[in-house]
Amino acid sequence: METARTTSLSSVSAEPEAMVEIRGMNKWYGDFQVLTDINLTVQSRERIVICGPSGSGKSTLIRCINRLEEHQEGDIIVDGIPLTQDVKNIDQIRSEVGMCFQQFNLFPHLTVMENCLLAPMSVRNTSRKEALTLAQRYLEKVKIPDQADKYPSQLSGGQQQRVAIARALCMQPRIMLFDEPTSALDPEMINEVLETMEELAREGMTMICVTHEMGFARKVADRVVFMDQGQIVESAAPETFFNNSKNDRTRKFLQQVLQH
Amino acid sequence: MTFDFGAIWENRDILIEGIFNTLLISFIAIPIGIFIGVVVCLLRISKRRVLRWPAIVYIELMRNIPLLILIFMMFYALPFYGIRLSGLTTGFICLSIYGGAYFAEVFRGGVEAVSKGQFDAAKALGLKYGFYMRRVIFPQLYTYVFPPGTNIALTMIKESSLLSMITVAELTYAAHDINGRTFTPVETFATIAVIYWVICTLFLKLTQMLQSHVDTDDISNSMALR
Amino acid sequence: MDLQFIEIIPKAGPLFWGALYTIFVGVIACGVGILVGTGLLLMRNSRFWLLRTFVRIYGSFIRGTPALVQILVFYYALAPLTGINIGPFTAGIMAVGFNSGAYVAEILRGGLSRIPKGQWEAAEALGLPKHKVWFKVILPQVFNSVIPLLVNEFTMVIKITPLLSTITLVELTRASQMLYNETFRPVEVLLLAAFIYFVICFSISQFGEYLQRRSQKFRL
Repeated sequence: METARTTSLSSVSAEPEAMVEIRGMNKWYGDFQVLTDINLTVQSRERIVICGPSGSGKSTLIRCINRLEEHQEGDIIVDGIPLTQDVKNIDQIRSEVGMCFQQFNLFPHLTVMENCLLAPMSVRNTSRKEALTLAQRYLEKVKIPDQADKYPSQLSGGQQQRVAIARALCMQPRIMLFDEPTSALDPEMINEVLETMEELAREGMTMICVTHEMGFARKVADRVVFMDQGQIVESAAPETFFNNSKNDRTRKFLQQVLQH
Repeated sequence: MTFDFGAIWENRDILIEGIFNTLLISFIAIPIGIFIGVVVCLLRISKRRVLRWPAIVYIELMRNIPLLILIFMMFYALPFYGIRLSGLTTGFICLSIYGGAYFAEVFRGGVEAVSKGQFDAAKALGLKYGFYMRRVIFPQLYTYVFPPGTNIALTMIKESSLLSMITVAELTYAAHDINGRTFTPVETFATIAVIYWVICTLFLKLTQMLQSHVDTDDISNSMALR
Repeated sequence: MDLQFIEIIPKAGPLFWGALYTIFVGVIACGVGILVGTGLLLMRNSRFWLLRTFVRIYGSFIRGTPALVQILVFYYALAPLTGINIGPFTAGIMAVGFNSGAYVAEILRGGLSRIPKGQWEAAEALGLPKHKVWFKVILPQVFNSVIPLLVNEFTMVIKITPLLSTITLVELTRASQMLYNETFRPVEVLLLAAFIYFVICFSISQFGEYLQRRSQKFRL
């Protein structure tokens, strides 16, 4: 995927390169602060895994990136576009950012194919023919091209989540957000989804993934971010994170999570 | 565009009689309808076909035939069999049996909503029939049944306006009457619309108060067992 | 008990035309009702306080006044008030349609509340603009989920049509009035009319149940 922006090699000032930049972000629900002083930079082609206990704010964080949640303080800049109240900015960012949800959220009244065609045709005004080619390509990529005419209720959870991934990919986003994509799946279906995500990562998609699947994190992530109580506690490469964490809270969390 | 509400004010006695009759009809028909509803509901949920089927037929008839036709049948057709009822009596009867069918369905819905598992749980806990009917089943039935039930009652108050077609001197008839004398359709019909609106809104407020009163009392009383 | 249906059958033609007219009026009024109801639903979810309040007052008025009075207001009061002269047909359709609209809005509101929040999020995350989210994702699911209630509303509309006889529309009730005034046989005529209404409404409910069974395949 070529664009005019990405190819500078400079590492001194990462601003134009960064796909997502979050600076000093704070968020409250009423009086309760859910995110405190979040600073995170995600480079193009980088794969980030965010983990942490329930309520740590990890889902809230990524949902702020495509404005499903609003932040009160701080800056979020996605692909050079600042995230503000401006609807045009929000719409632009949303077409660059793809998202997959824990509950899949496929549109039950549309077939698999129609689910994938809806956004390109409605948002980018892609012709039906082009959209069909696009959808066909991504349905093949997630390995369910033959289910195109089925309705979501006729598919298994793993299949539905893969359709959700294809649907998001049809908008050809520059970054994919995953919000606990396998948490609602039966164990035997988790692998098919993780494999799809791994292949996406291999092809160089920028990804931010909230998940409990530590095996996936070890294999795929460039960086693992640990969050607790609304703050980023630690952010490190997988080897450091899993084996040499200097942080007490991180180690404690890892102990609990890696039991099984 | 001048409005002549004075003409209406001059005829306020007709209006007041209309309001009185509307309320009279409604507030007699509603309790009768509820009573019919309970009886029909019990028949409807009976295990014996000979009791169930008449109830089903009755309910389906009332649900699929307009009230006005029922009223006309009772008022214009019945005299051919020697039964000549006054408009008012026809009103009471028709409104009650029409509402009764809807009440029956609502009560049935309530019973079915509560039935699942509650009887099992109560019996499993060793509670006695009279006790669990009063403390477990009925309070729950009440919350399921009250909102749709008040809706039916409200509809009955509004449907009383149909009786104007058989010359019962309720509120809508009063409007026709006044309009006939004063030729002020806008004022008269607007006025009775507002009066109906006030009646219905007050009725709703009343039932809301009743509901919260009963809710906190009965349920928490039955919960006090713990 | 001396029912002489034989006498009225030859003259029952008008009844069947009346029935057709009833259905015709019912369908159009229902269509109006659905449009009005959808509009009210969208207004209810608007950012503007004025629209939201309007919907609440409108609903309160329609549900707090008898349909007969609404019809009479449309027929007798609208013309002197606005100077617009509308015939009984238009007045009737509008009155019944606006009436039904308020109830349709309530039905749709219930359906809307049962749409999972995730549907909104997925649609917005894909970048769909608000109007597309409503018309391509949310409303189809809302309508799908309330089909039996909408069909029930249609039977309600059919049961309101007799009231239109008061403003000279010759639907089934008026036709039967005219017939028994002519034949002096209200028993037979009204029984026949009741039977026809029953057949119409019952068939509609059965159709509604059929539709609901079909739409189940969309459910999880």
